[in-house]
Amino acid sequence: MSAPVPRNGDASRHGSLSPSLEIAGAEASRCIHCGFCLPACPTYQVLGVEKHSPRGRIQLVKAWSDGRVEPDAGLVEALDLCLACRACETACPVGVHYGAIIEGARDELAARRRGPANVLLKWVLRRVAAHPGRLGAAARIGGRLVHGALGRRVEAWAARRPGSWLHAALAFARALPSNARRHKGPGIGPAPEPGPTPGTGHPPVAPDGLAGAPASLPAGERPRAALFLGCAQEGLFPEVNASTARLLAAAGFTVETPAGQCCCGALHRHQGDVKHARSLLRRNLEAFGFLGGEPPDVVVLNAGGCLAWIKEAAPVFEPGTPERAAAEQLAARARELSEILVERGWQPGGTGRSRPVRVVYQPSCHLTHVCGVKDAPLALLKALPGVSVTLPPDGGSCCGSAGIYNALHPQTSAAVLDRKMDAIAAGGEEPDAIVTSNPGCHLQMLAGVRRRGLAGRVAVMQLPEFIETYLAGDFNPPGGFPES
Amino acid sequence: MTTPGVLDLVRELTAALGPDQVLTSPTDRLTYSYDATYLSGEPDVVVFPQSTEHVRRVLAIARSRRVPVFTRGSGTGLSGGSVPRGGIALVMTRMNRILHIDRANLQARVQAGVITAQFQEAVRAHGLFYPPDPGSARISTIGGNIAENAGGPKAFHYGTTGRYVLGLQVVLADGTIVETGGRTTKNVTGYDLTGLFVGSEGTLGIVTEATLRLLPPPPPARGTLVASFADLTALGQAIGALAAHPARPTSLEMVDRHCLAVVEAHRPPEIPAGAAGVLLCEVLDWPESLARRLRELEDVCRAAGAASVAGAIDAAVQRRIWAMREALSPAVARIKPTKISEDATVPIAAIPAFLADLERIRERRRVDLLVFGHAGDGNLHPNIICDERDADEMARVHAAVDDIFAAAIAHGGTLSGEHGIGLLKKGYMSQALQPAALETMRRLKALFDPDNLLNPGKMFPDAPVSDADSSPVRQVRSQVQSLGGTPA
Repeated sequence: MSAPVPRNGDASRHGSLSPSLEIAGAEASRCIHCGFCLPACPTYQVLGVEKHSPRGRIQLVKAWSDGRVEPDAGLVEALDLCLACRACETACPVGVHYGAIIEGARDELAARRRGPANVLLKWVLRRVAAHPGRLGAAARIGGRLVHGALGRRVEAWAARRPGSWLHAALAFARALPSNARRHKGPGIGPAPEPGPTPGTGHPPVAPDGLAGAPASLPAGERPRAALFLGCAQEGLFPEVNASTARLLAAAGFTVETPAGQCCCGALHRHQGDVKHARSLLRRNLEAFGFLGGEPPDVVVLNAGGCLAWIKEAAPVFEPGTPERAAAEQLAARARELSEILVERGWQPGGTGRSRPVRVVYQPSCHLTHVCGVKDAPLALLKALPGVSVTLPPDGGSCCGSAGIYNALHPQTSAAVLDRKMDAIAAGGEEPDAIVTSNPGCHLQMLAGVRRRGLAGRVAVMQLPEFIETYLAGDFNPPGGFPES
Repeated sequence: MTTPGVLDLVRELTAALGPDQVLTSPTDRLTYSYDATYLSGEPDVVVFPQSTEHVRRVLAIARSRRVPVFTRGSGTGLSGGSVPRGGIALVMTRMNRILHIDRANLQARVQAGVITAQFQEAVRAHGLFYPPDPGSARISTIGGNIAENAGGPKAFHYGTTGRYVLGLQVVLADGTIVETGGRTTKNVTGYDLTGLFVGSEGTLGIVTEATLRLLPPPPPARGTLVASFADLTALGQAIGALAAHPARPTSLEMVDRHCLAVVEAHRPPEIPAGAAGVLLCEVLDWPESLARRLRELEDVCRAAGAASVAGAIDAAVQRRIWAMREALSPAVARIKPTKISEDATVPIAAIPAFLADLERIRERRRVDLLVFGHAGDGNLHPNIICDERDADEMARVHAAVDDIFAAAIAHGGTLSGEHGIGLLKKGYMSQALQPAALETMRRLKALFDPDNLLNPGKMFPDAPVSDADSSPVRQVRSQVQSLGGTPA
């Protein structure tokens, strides 16, 4: 009798990345098709057929790996339309690693894919999306194109050709904020001055324990925190990184933003471009000092998607190689901002706003289901005086952003988003802000707010920027403060 | 795979229901081939009726073409009851409207595809209570619950699904739409047709709507008692004593040491390590009497020889304890990938002897047999965890299953308390039932479904799959393997 498979947070689950269909099939055979994942799956809830549920996809992958079915159009559609939000892993009582199943099967599909749309996608991901400056520029140009007169005509043409590369490219452009700020170069400018060490007599909250997290950060001195900027975050929302750096400094860290860091590679890996994801990871290992350098005490990320990939990425390197060991060390030291702040006993400073503000926190799926960070972001928001925070009544399931899913599958993504906006509306009084913990979710919630005509009434921000803005007294709900 | 018969069938179904309600791709047929057992069998076509009229049309087409119809909800069954063998998979999940909740009369009318937990929530919003709580309530449909007469922990106090069904709308095999029962809680106007369809596993007719009886919510205070035992005989005796006591709990569940080992990482501190088994009692009462009632039950457990007893009134603690119990059924499959879930049920006084038999079967057949379940109803879930790819192990598993049913029947028990017979247990029916009883059931089946088109091949030990066996539609691969392959 083997020991029960550990759930979120155990190092062993990050040690079995399975690129091949065979390994995917082996993991799939652990599923007992009890159906407990069905209510957790956004695509099953929206599309209502079994092949768009985790249980259905797992059985399809199993049948494929057993040679009982061919990867025909139906199977490809079923695998493509998965958001890979991995809420099913949290719901699964057996502990099936759905991530390994969907990635293994998608790798097999990616290896078979050809055609201009796929070449274009790979090129865009490698040459544009992974570069903050280029991504920001693409957003501005694309935004003008999409929202201009010419854009409308091109779009009408492309709309009649779903699945074409132009359709995909336009959808991608549409997903970007057209008002992205011009990127001013690498980094976030000069490192902010460390603030006073916190701890006003309050004992630090116990860490909620990610895999391999350092037992405790060095106390008393100023631990070195290296900030991971990310490509989408730095390209589209550089202010979120700036807020993160200042919050870390205020929490007593010496903040570094290593030069030479690059995109984490999560988007590439999820599209089956393991080779490029591996080379990006190697560059980051060097930049952050894990390969022949002086690694920081902690690597801090503010994007759930990037953190989840960093946590699971080590197996792209062969066991026994220096890269593998370095990647495992990086995984162990990579933490999400809110975890770190909660662990350090962070207390809100600043002037605060005492008037009540209603916040809906829409978590990053990978932060929740892969990294197991659920409570810390809520704890930070709850600690803000005058802020009342709730999850959407759907428990914070996927918003439909899912990496570049919203660009690749705009219709399903929009259906998932509509369900999300319905859930937020069903939560009662309209919120003043929707706060997220990932740039992709940020973009998607902006789209959701626009779709519902809430722009100008409901602000959309990421956690670090909201905290800072709110505490500085600069958060002015677009609709004005409610009477208290 | 697409014989001309199937093409014509699909064309007719599409004309009757619309293209979006009819699926035929290999991926769709495969993903509607299974339930929560290890059995599977692909349908030729999957249809999603949106109204009773749609169901009537599907049955008319099935009848004219002699194609079998396999009705299902969310596919969480534990007996293979909804697994198709060719033919039409009739998926009820799009008939998912709550038609009304009638607060004044304490009842509601729903379509069969409503998710049980969603119904419970809607009812709660009206200040009312729908007690049946199968472990799959968040996934399963009311129609599926009715077809299997589903239970759950609350069945000990509140009874199973059937007790809450006041009336049904059923489409019969000949296309007749029957309204059974009514809107009263007492009703002896003629035969109890409602009771006939409850638990009939889709073999007599297709339930499309139900009138369900509701209750006021239970008293607001909740307490949980956890009693650990060093041996199962004492535990078994405690079950009888608790059930007979005036302070009788609302739910009375048991978990044996083999199950506790599986969830060791999630074992609440109230359960000491090393116990042979534990009883979990839930008590719903008024705040001022809660402590008294827990104390009475604690005394009963101690008198029966409990090694330790802990009461909990803290909500978070209780949530943790019951979350462990709820997750148990699927979680035991962490050991190995194949799970054979039985739900043999015995009179409560026979529980100690039955538990001893199960332990002996575990030893003799060398199988991973673990037991949890609704102890207060004598409804135990002996689960065997195995690997279907291991032929030698599976032979021992089959022998162990034979032993389990033989033991349950010897103790005056029965094959199934709440999962139904389906495919898994049909081979044991003639052991469990007197010949005249089985024959009466056959006559009922022949009366309602003379062409044997509704869920054929289920429940009866030697049931022919269908008269339609010879039609082209049936000339498709059937992946159904029957564990209950014991000759009748």
